[in-house]
Amino acid sequence: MHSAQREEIAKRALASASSADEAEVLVSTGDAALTRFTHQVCNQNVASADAGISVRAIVDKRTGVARTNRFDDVSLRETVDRAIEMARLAPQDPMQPALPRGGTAMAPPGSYDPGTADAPADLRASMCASLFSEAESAGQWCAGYVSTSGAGYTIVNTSGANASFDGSDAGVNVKMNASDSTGFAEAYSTRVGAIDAAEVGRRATAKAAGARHPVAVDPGPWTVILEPSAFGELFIYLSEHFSAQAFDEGASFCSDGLDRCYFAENVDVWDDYAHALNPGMPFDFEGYPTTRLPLIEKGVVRNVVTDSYYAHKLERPNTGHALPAPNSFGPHARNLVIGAGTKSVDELVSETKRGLLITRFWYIRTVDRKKAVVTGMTRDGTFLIEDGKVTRGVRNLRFNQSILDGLRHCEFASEQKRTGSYHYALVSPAVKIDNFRFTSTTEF
Amino acid sequence: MRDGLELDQIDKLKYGSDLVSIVVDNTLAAGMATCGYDDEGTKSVRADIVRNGILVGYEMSNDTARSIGRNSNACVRAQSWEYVPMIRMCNLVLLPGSTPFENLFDDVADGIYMESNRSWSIDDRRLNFQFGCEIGWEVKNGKRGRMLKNPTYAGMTPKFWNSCDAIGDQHSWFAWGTPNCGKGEPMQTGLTTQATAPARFRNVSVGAGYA
Repeated sequence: MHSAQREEIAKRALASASSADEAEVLVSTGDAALTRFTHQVCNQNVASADAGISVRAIVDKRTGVARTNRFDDVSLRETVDRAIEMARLAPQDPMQPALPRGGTAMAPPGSYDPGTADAPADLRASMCASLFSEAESAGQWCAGYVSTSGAGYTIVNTSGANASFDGSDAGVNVKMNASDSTGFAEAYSTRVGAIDAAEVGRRATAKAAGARHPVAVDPGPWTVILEPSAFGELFIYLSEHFSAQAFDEGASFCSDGLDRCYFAENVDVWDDYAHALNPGMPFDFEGYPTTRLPLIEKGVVRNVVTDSYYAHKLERPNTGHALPAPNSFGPHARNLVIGAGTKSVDELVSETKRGLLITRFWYIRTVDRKKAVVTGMTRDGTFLIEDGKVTRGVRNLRFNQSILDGLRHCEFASEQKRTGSYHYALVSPAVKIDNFRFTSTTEF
Repeated sequence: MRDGLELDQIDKLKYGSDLVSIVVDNTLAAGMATCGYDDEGTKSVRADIVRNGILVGYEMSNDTARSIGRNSNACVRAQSWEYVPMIRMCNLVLLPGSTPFENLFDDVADGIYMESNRSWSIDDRRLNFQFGCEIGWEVKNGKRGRMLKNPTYAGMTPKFWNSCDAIGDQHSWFAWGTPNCGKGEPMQTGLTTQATAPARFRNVSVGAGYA
């Protein structure tokens, strides 16, 4: 569905909301396809095309939201009426501000590629075939997926906001399996043609081959070099701390105050929808332009992200980071970018007397929210570094680590990568962290 | 590579102590995954998974059951109509034991009673686990003492279950559940039940999160 069609539907719905003080209509569309494989066989190929309308009505500072996926006049009117009815039943929130008026927001270059949004199954199958070929050449077997998708959003409201965006995305995620080891690699882009599946496959086979016959190492504090996949999985658990809601509720590590140094001086983090590796939507789900925002500058937390509600409540600028209403998370930093250092990963390895090179983490969960302590496992490529060289695979370990503590003694590599699959997306370099705390081991 | 629950371990693996019996029961009255038929159309049943500590079965779909010469026990679910049905955890039930709840603390010289699990992490073979709870209490010489915040416990799955030496009785048994169990690509969420009574485990590692 094109943006003009979405806008026509949204305005038709909005026109029937005259009995609300204010109203907002979000029309979202999505085409998502995924080809999954194991043992060099595509065992699942799914594609979905969906569209939905969400109506937020505000009556006397009371909010109601209703949804439908029917676009006829009667269904739109019924949905608007439901939202208004729920608003009248909802508790009043004196802090509820007027809906934002919107503004100009240009989609960044590269955020939409029609060849990706409409990619045929044949294309995904050919990318799978490239991965299979790499697996067989290496005497391994592989499992994973190739995905392509397109999504469109249009938001209009009674304050005059009118914003539309179309985006696309593609990903390859593969685990190669050798006799007693595994190796992981991934690649994501808004343009499927930018992904070289064979190269991804070779990275994963090399990981699995290099990790063969893993040895056990003792848990305890280790110097680690986390590749972007591993560090991204870790850092995303800090993203919720940059929400104005968490900040306001005292649930963020920086709730004690902004403009304070919480990290090492070499830590810089932005939220940037226009980064070339992860170009995204230039406005939020209230239709308000998103600000490209420094969150951490030289270790000092400068900002939290806001939406209209928290901008009003905290008397801070609206940074345009609203999620679709209603949600329990508040505003959210959707496009995190972690600043790079000056050295290559090889240089970081060469400067490490004894440490671990970690490809990825798995099943990270929060242990202590305020202290940002999380636990999780290494997986699919964990290597020993001895005297500046990667020497062999090691058995997997469990860690319990404060992300805050980790980023007080760290050094970033120079090359940034996009990581995070479709669950989240961020841009990060590899990072070296001292005294990373492992608490137990495994037999594999 | 193996996770220790392969076919050759059926009827052999001592998964837990003799007290540990686990069933899948998708007929359970209070179960979140209870249904008449699963999303392959198989009628829901109750089936043994671990009987008196021995691994005896799996949660199965039609294809996985047929591949090992068994019948499905109706453990296939799809998030909704537009998703591919897949095998997944449904109502998993640790059968109640015979120990009254308050007697679980007897014979505990130095322990922790943990409640309200709120964080779970386990490796991809389902062996090395760590769970975090919202609240706990010290147990000293059979008595509950001071309250503890954010307690954690960790271990290796079969070793943990083999250390179980008491399970609460029917009065303390409850069908707990999770409304957002995630699995698959694309990700699907499902309703699952973990029905248990409080249970006692010996020599468990605690406090790893803050060590």
